[in-house]
Amino acid sequence: MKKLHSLLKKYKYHVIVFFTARYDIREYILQIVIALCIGAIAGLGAMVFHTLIEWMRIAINPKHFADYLEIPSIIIVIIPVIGGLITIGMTKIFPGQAKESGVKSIIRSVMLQNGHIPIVTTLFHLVASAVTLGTGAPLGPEGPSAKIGGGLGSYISTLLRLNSRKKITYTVAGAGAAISAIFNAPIAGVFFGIEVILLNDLKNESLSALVIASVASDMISKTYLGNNSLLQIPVFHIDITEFPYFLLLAIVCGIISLLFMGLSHNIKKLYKKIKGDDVIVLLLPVSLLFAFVVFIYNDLFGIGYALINKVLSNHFPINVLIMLLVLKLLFVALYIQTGAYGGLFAPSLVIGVLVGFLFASFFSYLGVKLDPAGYAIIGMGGILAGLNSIPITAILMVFELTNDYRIILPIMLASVISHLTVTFYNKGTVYELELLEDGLDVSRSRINILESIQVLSILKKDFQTINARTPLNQTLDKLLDSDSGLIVIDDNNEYVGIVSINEVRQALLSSNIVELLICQDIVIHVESLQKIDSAAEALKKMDKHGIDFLAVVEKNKVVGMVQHRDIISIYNKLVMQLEEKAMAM
Amino acid sequence: MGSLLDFTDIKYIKFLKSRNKYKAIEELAGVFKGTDICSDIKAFVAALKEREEIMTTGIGFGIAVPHAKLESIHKIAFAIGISKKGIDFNSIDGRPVHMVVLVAAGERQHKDYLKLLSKIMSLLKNDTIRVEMINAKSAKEIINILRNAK
Repeated sequence: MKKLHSLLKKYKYHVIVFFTARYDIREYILQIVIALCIGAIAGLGAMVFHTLIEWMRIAINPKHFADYLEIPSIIIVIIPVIGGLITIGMTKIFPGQAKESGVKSIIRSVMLQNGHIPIVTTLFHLVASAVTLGTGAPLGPEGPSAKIGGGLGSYISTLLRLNSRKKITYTVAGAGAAISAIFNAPIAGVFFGIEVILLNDLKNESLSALVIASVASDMISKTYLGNNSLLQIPVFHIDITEFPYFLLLAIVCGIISLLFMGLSHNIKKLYKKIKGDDVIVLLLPVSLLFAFVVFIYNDLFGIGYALINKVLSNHFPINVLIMLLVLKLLFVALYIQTGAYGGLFAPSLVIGVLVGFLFASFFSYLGVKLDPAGYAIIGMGGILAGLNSIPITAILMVFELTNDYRIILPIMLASVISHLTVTFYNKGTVYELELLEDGLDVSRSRINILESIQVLSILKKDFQTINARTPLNQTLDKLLDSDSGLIVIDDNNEYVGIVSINEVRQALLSSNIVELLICQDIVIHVESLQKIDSAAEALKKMDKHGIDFLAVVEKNKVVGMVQHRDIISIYNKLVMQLEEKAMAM
Repeated sequence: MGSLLDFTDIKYIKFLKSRNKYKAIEELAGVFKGTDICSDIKAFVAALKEREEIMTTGIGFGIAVPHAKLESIHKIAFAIGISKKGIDFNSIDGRPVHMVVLVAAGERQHKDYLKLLSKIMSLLKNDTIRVEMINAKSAKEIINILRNAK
């Protein structure tokens, strides 16, 4: 006590300065403290997630489970199927939370919802992803981890009643921190935040919080998991004189990434054709098929770190490696396009290690002695960068996973060239293209606001319908009572078109035709909207037909309407919000 | 909108043989075959018949005005069919139809379509003109009536 008193006396001036200091110094310190806390909590969240997956993986791995229960191992093929069933059930029960999946949903929430991620969504993804990955789906934990970390950052910001600017900062910090913890790779976590969530915006004020949170979460991860890397890297030999082969492998990685994207895109189209918007139910046949494949190729079960280690230790003959590569590419695409909860980083590492190993083996067969283990590691960087548009994160992640300086130059080359190959061909990064598909254009410096507004958010449920057989005089009476027009339906209550006041002015003015016409004669057969369409799409259709409202239809039945004035109103509101945000930064 | 003559032609006036309303519609729609008005006569006839099934366009006074808007119609136009014997059109006054005015419009020609229908109806409500047209001996005579009508 006496010591504390003397210390206080000695540093009295410093204490006074701290408490009377300018507001921004205190705020700065507060930011560090919050970032540390969020990093630690995101790290803990990632560890809970990791533990859940590991527990399930070990407990119900087909081989272990069969031995333990002393039952024929073929019965165990049901495990991925049960996982699929639970995932489908969860998706059906919580459709709102389910659709906010993947890394792009974090980007969306940072860009459009001030970093807000509801805690229920975070918890949903913690459980759903653990079930998906724990029952053997060949996907990775990074997307869900980032969602969990970002969600926790967002939730703590809400609890602390921080403003929207700070909420964005800590959502980004939480996402990066979780990646840092799950891969035991803090620098990669920081660059994941920059490259993926902030879309390379290095000026963003979230950067310092991101660094602090990533370090804190990595400390949690190291305390829990120890200092061991996820991968067991064997002794390997590579030489800088092999430069042309590094370059060639980089291009091969870019091409394989593009092939995977093409495969994935075609599977998506096929799924849509079969099930429309309800593709998650296809997870069941996919899981069943995968279960039988896993029965033969057990190494495909789960995230794949064990498979990477086996490949690196030269465990498989070439024909098995080729088979594993083909099956991994196919099933990752089949799973990811059903909407299963998992990421692409870990599968990229598996695909990369197989590609790199096969590449070196092929040249060795031709008489050029290349070390397959070394090239397998380079391949990891190449595919990770190519498939995910994260060249810097890929370099740092593979470096942090291997802890070997010798590999850094070839990985830099493989990552950058593979990334450039994919970006050159696709005319944009993976996340830019995915967000564009969802109607959010982030390729330019500004967001196309109209594309970011979903019809669902401006849907009006108080609309008036009229049967197509209604005589014109009754139609006109109803039309005059309506707000802007009527939605015309047939005898089965299915959508036919609309009747707009502007379009029937002639009919209103001329009494000659009233007895001749019925409602169907004045219908405008305009395409309807779906809830998931964007406001930009709605405006385009309205302009095309010169009308100021459209029907929103689900399975041919009208569920609402969208009016021109509501689009303009929400547009103005969002522009004002964005301007306020820009001024605050 | 110009004169009614801008929307029809002597080729589109026909003296009908059919006495059944659907056959008469089919016969009259045939005048647009091979013209730049309609590229899918089958679909046009189907649309006219479908509309007729919902509610008759036989508005009484011996007149029927079947009409349809269709994607395959490229130019708004009308055809006139005269039936001396009369067609059972299930008209609202129960009388047989002696003059069928068939109106064709494109899906996007909504306003012109209503204007043309209004103009045709206004002409046909004139008893003298209507009787003159029904009693006309040739397509040329009908064209002259339309030319002189104000």
